[in-house]
Amino acid sequence: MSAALFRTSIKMHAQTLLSFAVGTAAYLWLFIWAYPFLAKSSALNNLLKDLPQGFLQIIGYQAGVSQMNEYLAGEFYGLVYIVILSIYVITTSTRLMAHPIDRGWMSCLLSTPVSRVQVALTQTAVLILGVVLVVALTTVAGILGVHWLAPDAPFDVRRFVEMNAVAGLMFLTVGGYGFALSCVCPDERTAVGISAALTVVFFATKTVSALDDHVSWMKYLSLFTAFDPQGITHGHAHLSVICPALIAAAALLFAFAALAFRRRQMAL
Amino acid sequence: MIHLHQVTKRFANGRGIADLTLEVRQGETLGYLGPNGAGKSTTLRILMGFLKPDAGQATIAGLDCWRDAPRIQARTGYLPGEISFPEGLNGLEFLDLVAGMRHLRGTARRDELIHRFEFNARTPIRKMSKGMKQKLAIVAAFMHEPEVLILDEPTSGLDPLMQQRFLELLEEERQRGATILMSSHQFPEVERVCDRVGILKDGRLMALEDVQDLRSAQRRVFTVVFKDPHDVSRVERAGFHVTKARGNEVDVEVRGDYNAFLRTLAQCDVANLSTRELDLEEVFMHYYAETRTEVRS
Repeated sequence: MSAALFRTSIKMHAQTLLSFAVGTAAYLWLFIWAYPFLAKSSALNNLLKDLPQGFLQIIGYQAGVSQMNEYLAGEFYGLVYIVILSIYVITTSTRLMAHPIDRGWMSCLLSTPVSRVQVALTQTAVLILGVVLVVALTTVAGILGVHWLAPDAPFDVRRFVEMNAVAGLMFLTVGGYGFALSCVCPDERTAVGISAALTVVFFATKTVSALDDHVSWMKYLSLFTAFDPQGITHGHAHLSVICPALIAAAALLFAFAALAFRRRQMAL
Repeated sequence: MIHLHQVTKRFANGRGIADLTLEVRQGETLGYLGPNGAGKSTTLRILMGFLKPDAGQATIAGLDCWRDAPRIQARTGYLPGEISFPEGLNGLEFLDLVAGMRHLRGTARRDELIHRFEFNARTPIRKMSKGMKQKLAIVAAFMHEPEVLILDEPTSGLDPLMQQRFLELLEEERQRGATILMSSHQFPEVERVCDRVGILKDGRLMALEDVQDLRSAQRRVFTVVFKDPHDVSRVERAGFHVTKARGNEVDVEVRGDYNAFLRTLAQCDVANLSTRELDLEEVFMHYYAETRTEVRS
């Protein structure tokens, strides 16, 4: 790790980080603000009750909107949050590694006594800190938002924190493959393209797997299966297995990225 | 200090370097010349540990350039051929980053270099001109007073005054005992600061010569306009080789003995006198034509 590089990288990414954190929090508040109106609407709950179970699974409503956690799990964490955080981790991971290699200024970093592995680990730390900060700010914003905007709504803070924590770990893994691809792809565009395509495939596979029992096996092909907001809300998720598995996967991907970067040949 | 032993590096497009053996001795300044695509930058990138040779070995101070790159970087200053900086920083922030990564405490040398190259280091990098970026890269490469300097076309983008300043800086580094490998397109600057010069063509080292030998073998063409046409024959009688004569104007080829030429011209009525630098190819063509003739005779 290089403290000087860490400081500079954080400074260079602070604006993006802040934009995503504030944007995510604002979006979450909008959903929380809308909750009291939706919860009062018996028509919506009745409509949801009449819909087939498979369809409810896809749209993320298995239990209606009678509780804030279920509502946020379905409305926000099922799609909006995944899209925002995916964009954040993929753009950040490629800007940390593929961008300086592609632009050539990686030579400025590698012509100092800081080794390639140290450079990769420092940039990894910047990415991890960014994800942790966005997730932590969203969690805090969610808790405060419910407290301020929907104080009467039934809300389980512990389950909400668990849901955010698992989301954070899953996005570290997404960042892990984004970072690894940044270290092996020939240029930044390829790294962004493959990382984004892989993320879309993971998301689509999970969505399709919920359509029918015949294709439910497909969920095992998707990383996004690890993050089940409804399962966490209802306490069905195996957090003691999922969390260590996600941490191990992210660690392996970041380690692979550092080793690949150490062996990479660069025309800098 | 810098050793390349039978180093080969081939790229998919067929370019690269082949079986290159080269040594830069401790305290020596070696000019590394050749046309675009000859393999100059590839050689320097191998020395910096950015590229791994397909075959052969590259070392600096006995350390392997690929395996021990971080230890080599601690004592090396590098100026890349294509300069690029992190976005969103100003010059000083960038220098602070490099200094921090080098664990460099003092800023005296950095400030002295900024002062010498006369630029405002607080300018945001995205607003810097090409020349200003080149100056910033020079400060980053020189501020830790490295033992070894690897410079890829260091004067490109600098105006003539700053080129002059840079060559003075290089001269000081030489006096300090730094070992310098510098690629260039321009023979005059190499001639001025280098002890030896290597010529690379199509990835192969075509020549490695002492600058002194090249200089003494170098011919120069003077274009002289005489007021009196009879002076043309005076120059010819003095034994100088007139390559072209256009009335009062003649091209005279002079090698080494400039005093005799000036003495002859002093006896003539000269209306105009000009000369031009021979480009690298001409210098070497003449040099090799000369040595071959000498061998034959």
